[in-house]
Amino acid sequence: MNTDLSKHRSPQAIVAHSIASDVRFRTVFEEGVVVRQRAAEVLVLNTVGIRILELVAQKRSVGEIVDDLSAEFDATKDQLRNDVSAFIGELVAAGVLEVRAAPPLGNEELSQP
Amino acid sequence: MNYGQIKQRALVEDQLLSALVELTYRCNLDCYFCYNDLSLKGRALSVEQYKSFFDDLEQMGVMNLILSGGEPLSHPDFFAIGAYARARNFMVRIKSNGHALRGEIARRVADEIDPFMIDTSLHGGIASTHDRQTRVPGSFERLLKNIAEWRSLGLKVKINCTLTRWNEHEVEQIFEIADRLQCQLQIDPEVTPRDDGDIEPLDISPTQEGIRGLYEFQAQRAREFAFEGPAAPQPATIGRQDADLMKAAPAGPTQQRKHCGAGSTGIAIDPFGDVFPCVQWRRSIGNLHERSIIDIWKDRSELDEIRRTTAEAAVLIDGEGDRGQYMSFCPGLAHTRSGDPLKIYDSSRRRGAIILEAYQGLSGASKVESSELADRKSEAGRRLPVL
Repeated sequence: MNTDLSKHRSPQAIVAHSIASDVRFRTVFEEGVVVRQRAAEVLVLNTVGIRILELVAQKRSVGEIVDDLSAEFDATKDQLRNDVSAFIGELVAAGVLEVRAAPPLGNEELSQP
Repeated sequence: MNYGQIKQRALVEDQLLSALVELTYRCNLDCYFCYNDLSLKGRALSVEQYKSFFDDLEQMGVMNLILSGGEPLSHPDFFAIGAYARARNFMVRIKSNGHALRGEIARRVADEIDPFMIDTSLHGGIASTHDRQTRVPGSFERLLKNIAEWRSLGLKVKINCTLTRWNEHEVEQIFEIADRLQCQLQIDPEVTPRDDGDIEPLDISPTQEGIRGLYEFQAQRAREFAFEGPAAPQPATIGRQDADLMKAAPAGPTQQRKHCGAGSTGIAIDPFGDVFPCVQWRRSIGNLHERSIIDIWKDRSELDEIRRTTAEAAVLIDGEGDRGQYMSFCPGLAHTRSGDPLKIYDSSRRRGAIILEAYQGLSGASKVESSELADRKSEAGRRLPVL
């Protein structure tokens, strides 16, 4: 399954992701400990990964996340755009994130992880 | 770091991971061996204090929150407290006797608290044994019916059972129940004194033959159900310390190696705000009416002694040789029994020897529980490819 959403459209148009309802997470020693309760599975994310999760929890769009990260980390928006989109796709595939609502332009591939 | 390394580091660096919260000592059952000190009086924490406490725990990085009692559902604000814990993104476990957890209440627990797991207690493999312990007729049948209902709601369930002289002949039936209901099962062979030091419950401690029978049966199951060669059950834990997913892993060979996470990765709080190193170790390290948990945690005067003791306990158990790993020695229980957290009690040594013998010929380190047949899960720290 192709989860790299950036290949299909501008990330700014991809608005809506949310944390899956069974997911809990904390930052411990600057690592992100993410638990999928239903699967009883633990994922460990690095500093940037957990920051993205926090921003998703704040209902930030991919475009806004890119903007936020570019201010916080030494990376260009172009670099970040691809990485963030790919990473969010990974989290969707892993069941950590859900697609929250249809994007403005409508596109069937975005309705599924 | 993977998750195991995080837990290891947490133990060494005293990173709190888990808090067990005794909301109330009220209970709708009347278990003969209940360890709660029902004579304790004090000013109960308010809902607002619980909320503030949970805010602090979240800020400290704690994810694992265990709502216990007494019977936690008998707290008048149980749902408000539980829902707030859910909103603060805690992984909540509810330790309930299960008697009232049915129908609308069960549905609300699933919907409003969405716990990681329900921990409940089964006291026998047949009704007469269970009900003899709870002293409430019909409690066995009601519990089994309720567990089935929780499972139908998608709730994970762990059955805890304390082996006693009354139920030690029913181990096979207890496993059958857990298998049938697709629950995890942990049978702990240690009956503990009451928290006020009363040793009356020890009258129903299991016999040596009963303990041997339990571990031989578990070893047999391990042989039968191991998918990739025989797997030896891990040393049993003291049942009241369980918080599996966030429990600190045994520490490696460092100068700060500790025997357990009491006062390092875990704490317990009674209904009146007293904070303890663990649920078994009733030595107050502060009170939430007086100071926040953040301040209590910063003030190391009490905690450092607890932590030094757990490090000394690790050395002590090393000296017990091969059986040491199976002794499930608990400094808190030693403290309750004798006032000395480093005094090894006889039942611990006996258990270590029995288990070591029962597990002869097994290898590996993963405990085979009945739950694994129905719900093989992984808590290995997987790392997603990240930026």
